[in-house]
Amino acid sequence: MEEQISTPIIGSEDGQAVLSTWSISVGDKISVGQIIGSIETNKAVLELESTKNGIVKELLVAAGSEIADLQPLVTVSIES
Amino acid sequence: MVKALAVDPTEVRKRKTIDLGQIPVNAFSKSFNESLTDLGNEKIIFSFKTMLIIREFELMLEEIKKQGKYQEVAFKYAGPAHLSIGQEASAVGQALALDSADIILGSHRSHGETLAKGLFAIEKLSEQELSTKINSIETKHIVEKFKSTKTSIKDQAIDIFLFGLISEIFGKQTGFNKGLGGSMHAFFTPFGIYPNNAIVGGSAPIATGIALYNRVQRKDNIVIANIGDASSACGPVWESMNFAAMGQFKNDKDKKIKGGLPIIYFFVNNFYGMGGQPIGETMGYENLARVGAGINPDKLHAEVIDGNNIFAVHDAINRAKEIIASGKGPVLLDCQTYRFSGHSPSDASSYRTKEEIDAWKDVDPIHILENNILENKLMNISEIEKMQKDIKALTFNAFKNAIDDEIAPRLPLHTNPEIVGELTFNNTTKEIDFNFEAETLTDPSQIQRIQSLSNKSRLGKVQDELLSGTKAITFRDAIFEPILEHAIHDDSLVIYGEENRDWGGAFGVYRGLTELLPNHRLFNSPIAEAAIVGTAVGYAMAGGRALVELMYADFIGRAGDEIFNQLAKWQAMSGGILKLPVTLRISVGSKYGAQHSQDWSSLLTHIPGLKVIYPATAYDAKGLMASALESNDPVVFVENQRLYDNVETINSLGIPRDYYKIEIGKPALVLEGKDITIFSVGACLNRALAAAEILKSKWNISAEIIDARSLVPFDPDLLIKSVAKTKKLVCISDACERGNWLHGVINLIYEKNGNDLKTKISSVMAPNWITPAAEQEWNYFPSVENILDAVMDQGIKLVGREHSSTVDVVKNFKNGI
Repeated sequence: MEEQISTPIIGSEDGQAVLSTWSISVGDKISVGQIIGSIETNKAVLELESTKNGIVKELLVAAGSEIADLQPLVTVSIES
Repeated sequence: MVKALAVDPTEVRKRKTIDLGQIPVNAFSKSFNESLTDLGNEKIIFSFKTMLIIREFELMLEEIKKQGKYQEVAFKYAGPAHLSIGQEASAVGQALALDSADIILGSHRSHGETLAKGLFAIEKLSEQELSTKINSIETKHIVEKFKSTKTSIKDQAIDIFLFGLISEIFGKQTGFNKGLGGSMHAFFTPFGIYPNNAIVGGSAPIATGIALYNRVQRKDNIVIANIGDASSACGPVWESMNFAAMGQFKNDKDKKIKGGLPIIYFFVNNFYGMGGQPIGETMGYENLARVGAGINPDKLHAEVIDGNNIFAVHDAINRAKEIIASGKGPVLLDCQTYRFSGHSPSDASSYRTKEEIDAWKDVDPIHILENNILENKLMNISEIEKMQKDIKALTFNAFKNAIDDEIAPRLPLHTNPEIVGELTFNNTTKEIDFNFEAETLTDPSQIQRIQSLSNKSRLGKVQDELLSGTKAITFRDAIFEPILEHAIHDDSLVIYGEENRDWGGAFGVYRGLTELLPNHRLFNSPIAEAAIVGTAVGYAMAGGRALVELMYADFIGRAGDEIFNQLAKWQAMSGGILKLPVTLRISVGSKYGAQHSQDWSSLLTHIPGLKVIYPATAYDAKGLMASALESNDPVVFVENQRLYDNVETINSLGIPRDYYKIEIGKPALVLEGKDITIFSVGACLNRALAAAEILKSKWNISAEIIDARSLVPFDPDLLIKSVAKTKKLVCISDACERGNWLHGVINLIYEKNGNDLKTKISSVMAPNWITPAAEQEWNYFPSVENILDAVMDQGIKLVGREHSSTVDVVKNFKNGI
């Protein structure tokens, strides 16, 4: 089964944010609460936490991309 | 503090007790002979003489107030006289222990403190130093009129000092502060005497700010905040003591500045406010010194001392100085004494008994010391009588000259009332010195935000495409850029406020500065708005430059006195001697309801003495922030949170990379038009532009838009010319209608453009009630539709559009809304 990790609702005026770095790669095993990347807004640099347990199948945006609130960022294969 | 202070639940949840320890009361036990050995004859005799001068000075004022004369010479004085008869030992014991460079700020009842500090400074300074000080910018207006006939520099200095003080009290132009301070505000910085305050406890935040300056600038002199016992109930006093004792000061790595602030909170405890009694009536503490236990584990080294014994006071100050020198300040001293005189001459002493006053007169500090001096043969009775006679002559001489309108005239306010206006602002600047490198922690180019700023577009729109705030410089970035330059190139600049470090301020304006600046130049303040603004006043007064922040305009009330009475007034109250380069950033919220979304810009403009800036574009924000930071006047920089993420789309050149300034006081012509003028304040500009676009596209109406940019000062010429051309005016502001700054502008336009106007001026302002919740905000703040209605009120037909809003002004007046 596959699920996605999405951008949290950041709360900046117009959702302006950039996925600044990834700290995971395809194939990595990740768990809930793990820091998987960072998001830069004009106000702050935020840590992106995993909301899933599983294996990273695909990174849906490249580092440096603008992202919107609730946009899917990672596809995760969920362990059964 | 950058994740360095861990909050460990195991530790937090342990069972234990907090040991408050003990606070000494009247611990001083030395005999007169021991003090004599310590100090020597001369210092004791000089102290005695100073006490006699203070007593005579206060008796003079009492006689003038009650009998209209002094030594048989009639004089009527209309101002206040809060006398300190009986409290002389506390002032003199304090001054005896201080160096001339140490700084005091006086209490509400400050003549004695001022006299003691000044006379001891004269005694301690060399003739050459004295000569410089009595011929300085602070004394120029005094010595031009008054010539001492004495031969020695010291005696001349005493004459000038007494004459300057009495002149100030009598409101004469030859007073220290040209008569604009008066009895409760007379001060003289060359002798280390900084402002006294008519606001009870008002000295505490300012003194704390001066101590902050001394710490940041690594100076050794200490500061004393003289405050009355009743001020211990005041929030700003409490905030100040907390501010001075902040844990982060103790933890600083820089040894030279490590430790709490170098300040003594010297409570002159005479047991009464005006008539209310803190102990037993208006406070629960039973002993004032107990409040030290609420501040830090050192209890502020609090002690109760005998304020009727100069040696006990001297000893306590000396020990406090040692504590401060070891980095363990601040210190609280509860100096118990008593005023024989009433609160003021009209005081009928309805709140205390004659027996109580007599019991204290039995321990009159002057008699105690006089008896000691006689018993130990330091002086004999005839020498003391001669001293008293000389002091009467000295005081009379100062009095006689100060009441002489030839020698001591008043400022000619009847013929030129604008003299005071001209002292309100100095309109000077300290230009940034790009060759100077201030203390920083790292090369700015290594900081992530600064790197990303250098990659951002300076234009908000490229080939008609609106860029996001991650790709183009935003309003937030535009504010940051000049602040960064000043942080790098001005060592005297400190930046603080709530959550300013790490967070970079609640709205991220300072993001990146934490990595750049050492903690002592950028730090988190306590949630203490009075202390934030009040300390900035003191820091600036001492010679520094402060950039401080109130997170929301709604918090202005929490710093009410510090903004309205201290920041706004001291330049004029000092007769133009003090400069207050403070930039106070205040944000106007949105979407946060009634206590976090109010636009109080108009309220700020009501207070004489504040420059008020309210930029609406990123380009203006950058240039105006640079001007604010260079200004030697206090500037309130209002930022609307709606704008922080905006990129620059209005100025076609975008936001220049280099440092630039925009003159404070000049509005901007944002859009040229011919049919109607829309005059906008603050964040309303974007709504004005949206309305103008609709007017153009739907009805081919050409609106001219002027953005105020600065509210105080404000040059109306551009607006006058515009209205002369369009003959129609709509004004918009997010501040509520009653007392709105725009009413003054509207009156001015009626006066200047009365013959041009086709109809009465229309205005759109927030109504006189609370800001509703986020979803309902646009039923409160001026909207594009409201502006279009106002345009229709100007007699412009918008075919097919219905007028949607009506305001019954008379009804609202009647209902108080």
